[in-house]
Amino acid sequence: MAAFANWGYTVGDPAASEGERFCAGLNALGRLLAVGSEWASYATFVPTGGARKAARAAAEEASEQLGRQGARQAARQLDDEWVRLYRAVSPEELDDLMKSGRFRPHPEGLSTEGKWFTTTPEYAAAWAKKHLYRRKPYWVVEAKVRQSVLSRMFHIERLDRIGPGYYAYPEQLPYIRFVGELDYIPWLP
Amino acid sequence: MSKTRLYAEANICLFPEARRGVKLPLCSTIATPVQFHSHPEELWSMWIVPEQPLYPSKWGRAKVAVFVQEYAPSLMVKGERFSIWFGGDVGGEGVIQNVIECDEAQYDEIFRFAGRDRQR
Repeated sequence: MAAFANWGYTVGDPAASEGERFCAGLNALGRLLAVGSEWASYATFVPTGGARKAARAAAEEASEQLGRQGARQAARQLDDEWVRLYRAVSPEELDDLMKSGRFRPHPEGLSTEGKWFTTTPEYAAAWAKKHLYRRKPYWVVEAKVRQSVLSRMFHIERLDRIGPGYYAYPEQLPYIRFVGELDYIPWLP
Repeated sequence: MSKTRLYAEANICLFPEARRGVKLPLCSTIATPVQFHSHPEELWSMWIVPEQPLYPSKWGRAKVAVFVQEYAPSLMVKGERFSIWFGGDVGGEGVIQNVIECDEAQYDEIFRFAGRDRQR
């Protein structure tokens, strides 16, 4: 209360009621949040209509502010859209993905701790077919990741002269969602 | 079978900071990008098969091979140095000691089908 008393009385018109001066000291959202609080209750006890008027004005202003914030948040989410990534995996890794529902380092610590992804099923298949699993079965799996996470992953524009590679650090793996395995292997010449 | 594949024996020294990208000592086969010092503009995926556990800050021996075999003759040259990348960080260095030609079956035995510990 001391803090309230200190700034509450230095803001606003000295001739105004205590409630009005109290509310004037808060921004619109603060004023809205103050409803039901000890301080707002204090304000509404002031025997004038000023507090109620101030509270209504604050509510309207807060509503506008929330609307603007909502619009900004929606715009940010639109920017932060999901991006699809692909990865060729062995049947064992697919099995682990199915069981755990997530990408994770080899449970026995036998691999590098992050994982590589690429941007199309064709690139994933190119690495798999030509270099990783040439004569062994493999699957291409689809994942999705927020643009904001993708932009922090290590990126090589043209790895092996094949295509783009994105490396997810171990701490980024939880942000990569496993979508599912493709039911086809892209045809490669 | 004709000797169509190329691999190399290399001396490798992993940096202690490599811990972020890989468990040390490195005992199992991994595939990770490397940067050959004579071709610094590109990164190439390389199999690394330790011949003995590779401890940080100590030189050890490994068999190595770049994925893309058609470029192997120009990349894996005796005396060539390369930086080993674990994700976005350089986690070690290597020097090619011997370049060895082999057939596909041998190559697959060493690098591709080395067992369950092979993962990228």
